[in-house]
Amino acid sequence: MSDPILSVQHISIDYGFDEDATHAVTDVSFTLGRGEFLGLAGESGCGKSTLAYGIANILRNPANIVSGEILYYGKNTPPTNILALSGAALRAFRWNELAIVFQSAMNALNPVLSLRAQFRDIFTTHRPHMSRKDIDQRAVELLQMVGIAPDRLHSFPHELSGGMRQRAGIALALALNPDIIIMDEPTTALDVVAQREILSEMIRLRQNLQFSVIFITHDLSLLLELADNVAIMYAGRIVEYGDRRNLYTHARHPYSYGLLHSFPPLRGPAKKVFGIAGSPPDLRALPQGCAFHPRCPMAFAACQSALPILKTADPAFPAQQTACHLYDTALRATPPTEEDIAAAYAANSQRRGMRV
Amino acid sequence: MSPAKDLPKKIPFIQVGKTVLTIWKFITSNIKVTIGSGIVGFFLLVAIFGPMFIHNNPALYTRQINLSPSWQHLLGTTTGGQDILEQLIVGTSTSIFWGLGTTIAIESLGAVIGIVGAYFGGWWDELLTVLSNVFLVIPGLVLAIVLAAFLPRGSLTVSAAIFVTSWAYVARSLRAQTLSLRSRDFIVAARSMGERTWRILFFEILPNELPLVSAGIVNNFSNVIVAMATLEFLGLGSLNTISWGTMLYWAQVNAALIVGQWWWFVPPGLCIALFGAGLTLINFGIDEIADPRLRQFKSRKRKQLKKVTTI
Amino acid sequence: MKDVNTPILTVQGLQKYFPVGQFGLRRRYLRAVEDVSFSLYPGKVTALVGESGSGKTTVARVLARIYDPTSGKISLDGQDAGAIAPRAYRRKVQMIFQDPFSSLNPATSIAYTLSRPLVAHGHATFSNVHQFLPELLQRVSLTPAEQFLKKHPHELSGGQRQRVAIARALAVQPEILLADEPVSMLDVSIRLDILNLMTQLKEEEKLAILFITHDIASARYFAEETLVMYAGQMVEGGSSEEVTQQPKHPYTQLLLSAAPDPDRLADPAAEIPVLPARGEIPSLVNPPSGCRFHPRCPLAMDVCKERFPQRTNLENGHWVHCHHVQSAE
Repeated sequence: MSDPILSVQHISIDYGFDEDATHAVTDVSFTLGRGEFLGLAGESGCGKSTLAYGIANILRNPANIVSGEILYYGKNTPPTNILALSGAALRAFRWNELAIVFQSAMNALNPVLSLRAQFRDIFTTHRPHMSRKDIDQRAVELLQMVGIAPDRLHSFPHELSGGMRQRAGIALALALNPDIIIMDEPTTALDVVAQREILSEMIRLRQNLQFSVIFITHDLSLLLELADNVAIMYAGRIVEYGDRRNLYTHARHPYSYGLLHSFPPLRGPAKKVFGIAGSPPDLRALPQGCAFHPRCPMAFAACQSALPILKTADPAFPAQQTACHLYDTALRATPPTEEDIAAAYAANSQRRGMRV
Repeated sequence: MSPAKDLPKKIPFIQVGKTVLTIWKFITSNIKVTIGSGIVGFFLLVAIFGPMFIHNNPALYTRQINLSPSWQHLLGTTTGGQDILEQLIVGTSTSIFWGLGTTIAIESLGAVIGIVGAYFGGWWDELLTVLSNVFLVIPGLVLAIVLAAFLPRGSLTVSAAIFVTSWAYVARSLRAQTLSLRSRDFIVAARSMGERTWRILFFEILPNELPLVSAGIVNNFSNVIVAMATLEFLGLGSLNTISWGTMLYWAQVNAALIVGQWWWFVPPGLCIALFGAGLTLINFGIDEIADPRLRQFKSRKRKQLKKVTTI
Repeated sequence: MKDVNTPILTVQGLQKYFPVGQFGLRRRYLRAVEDVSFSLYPGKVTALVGESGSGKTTVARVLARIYDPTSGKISLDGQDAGAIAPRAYRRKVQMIFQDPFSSLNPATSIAYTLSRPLVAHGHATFSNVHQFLPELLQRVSLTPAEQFLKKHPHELSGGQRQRVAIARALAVQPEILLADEPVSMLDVSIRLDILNLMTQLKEEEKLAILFITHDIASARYFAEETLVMYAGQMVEGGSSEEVTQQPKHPYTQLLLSAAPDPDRLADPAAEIPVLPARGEIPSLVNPPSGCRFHPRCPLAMDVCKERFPQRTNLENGHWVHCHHVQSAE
């Protein structure tokens, strides 16, 4: 692993308390390298957004972090536990070191303030010595960086199109040169063309400014084009983590495989694809054992009782980690190939296709 | 065939039990609702069963006049020698039933006018909106006094006067709600499915407005009770009926306040205030249940975080 | 048996303007749909692809008779749709909405939602409608049916709700299904389940389906024919394979290069695409003259600003509205 910037260790996040608690995120650990683009993929309710907000320490009641720690490695400072920060230290940490871009830019931007006023807000809070002239100059610079014309500085959020608003949100996030940017479904509300433009912009900016990104989305196909590493979440846990190419060529967890093959191909031969049977689980009533087993076409006895842990599935690819009993040699002699998983999905779909 | 037919039929007793349990849970879920329901429930019990225990005619004059409270007459007697407790029980019944009837009539007319106007839009909406606006700007109590003075005396007149001056508020709030529902997908879907208009109005839109309507009933009920008591206190009600308002009227006419016969005018006044407070508490409680943000969150301390040990 | 080669629904020169701003002397219009023509065939899916603001949803809503067309002709089974009573029309044409969280009434049970179309269109009566409901739910693979009938929409997952919405449309026994982005609000893993279900219905019941989507890959997967719309104008159409594999219109090419495609990873030489065009869909109150794509088009010529191009027919039923292709022919 290259020089780490953020290390998330055994984080668990609940909604509510004690016996009423819903476990939105359970025992998640990963490390984000300096300048790394990490993709966090999963469906609605898998805990990906909760995890992101937990990392930024912006969760509010009734969500609370019940265990774990998040270490931030500053450039010349000892590691800080973000969760131990509060008050002024926490405010300084956000924006300066870590910024968030939200799904709905309309909610993140203040509707009654012009972009200029919003830039001033940030700079007067965090850079009190900056003059107004300097602030305006810096704001124009930032807007140009994300592809917004300087004359838009005086615009209000409602005067901008969806794509422009999201760009403005990115410009605000970049204002103080943070080391980490968390993007929570930043393009979900946008059309494909606007989405592509923003993503190309992000790639370019990252090359120039060298920040790390945690990119959260339900669209795995996007991540495979953009991210260095991808973590796939299901029911509050990471079920597979790996390099995007390894994941694309050989997704080992049946859920990752199913998710990856839930997109009809844009090119190449037309083929039948299946998706995954059933619905994402209800976090209040998670199944025993592996949470995915009721939908898994390859589930066997162990999956219903024991919880698989995240570990290297194939020694040839030590960085690709999978939480699946299929790769536990004590439970199953030979690990399944990708063809085995494909065949299981096809057979499962065939079975469901039979009408009663 | 469907396996449902082989299943034993649901026992009605269990169903009733479930409904009671749901209502009980609702009542006990919030302290304001619990207290409010207790007060309102007590008055409803008195209104329904109280008159059964009264065997004398509480309007009858006797010789035992102007007695202060005693064991014979728990709340004393009037200048006419009538037992005030008996009058109060009968009056509770009258006031609550006339009040409830009037409230339901107000809500029904308001709902129909609000929903129909907003759903059809255009010319109908213009007409009904103008009509309700006219009633909204007329000072309600003044119009009610004028109406009650000109119409033949009686409880129906009081009820009608309040009805005429109150429906427009309900119509306005339901019109706003219907306007927002009308363009919602499920209404558009019902229309494009080929559903009949009256069914869309009363089976698709109305059920979604029931929370608003029931909150309106709770809210209006106390307003109507106060308004009826006001009109009756001014002497516009029926002089032969006993209700909270007429009791206050007779107490005033017979100078009970000046003489200091507090046992005559305090009980009906207190009943009006208590009943109104009970309904208001229920309304506040419903608001809190419906909008959790109004509830005070019992935030507990986050569990102790592990210290940084390794890097 | 239905004749699969005769169109069941034909749209000719459909136009839909919405008035905007009621005040002021000069009435202005939002020109949502301009000159749209196509046909739907039994047992065939026609995809209408475009971004938000392309007018594709408006087309579906006009066809569902939620809006009246400003001009143009719609004929159902060879009959002018305007002459058919709304109920008779809706008996043949049903719509599925994008968001299953808002298209089902939260206050009524699934049983009520599904029994209404059966009763309203005379397929059942009040007393016997309950016999038909389990079978209806089985058709959309919601089993055991009894378990779902008493539930309310909030007790179901997104995919289950959309199945109920499809069942509601099927209950009418329509011949045409207008599916307005039926899977875009659903979780990724269950989208294909719904599309495969609709494919099955199409094949078994010979339904004609208009599939509205912004996702060109799912149009290719699900539809035999694909039509591409931009800012209310139709720009390209033909068999889905032709349109997605050999796009001729610059806008279709733009859509395709912008779409996420993990298969680019398989080819190490392939880079993240550089988009040929920038910008966004223009305002439809004051749309650009001529071809509405010209301000963004990398190949725009002077003639593009002057008039909308005529249809150019290419081989295999593939057609395109583009001056550039026209002049190359």
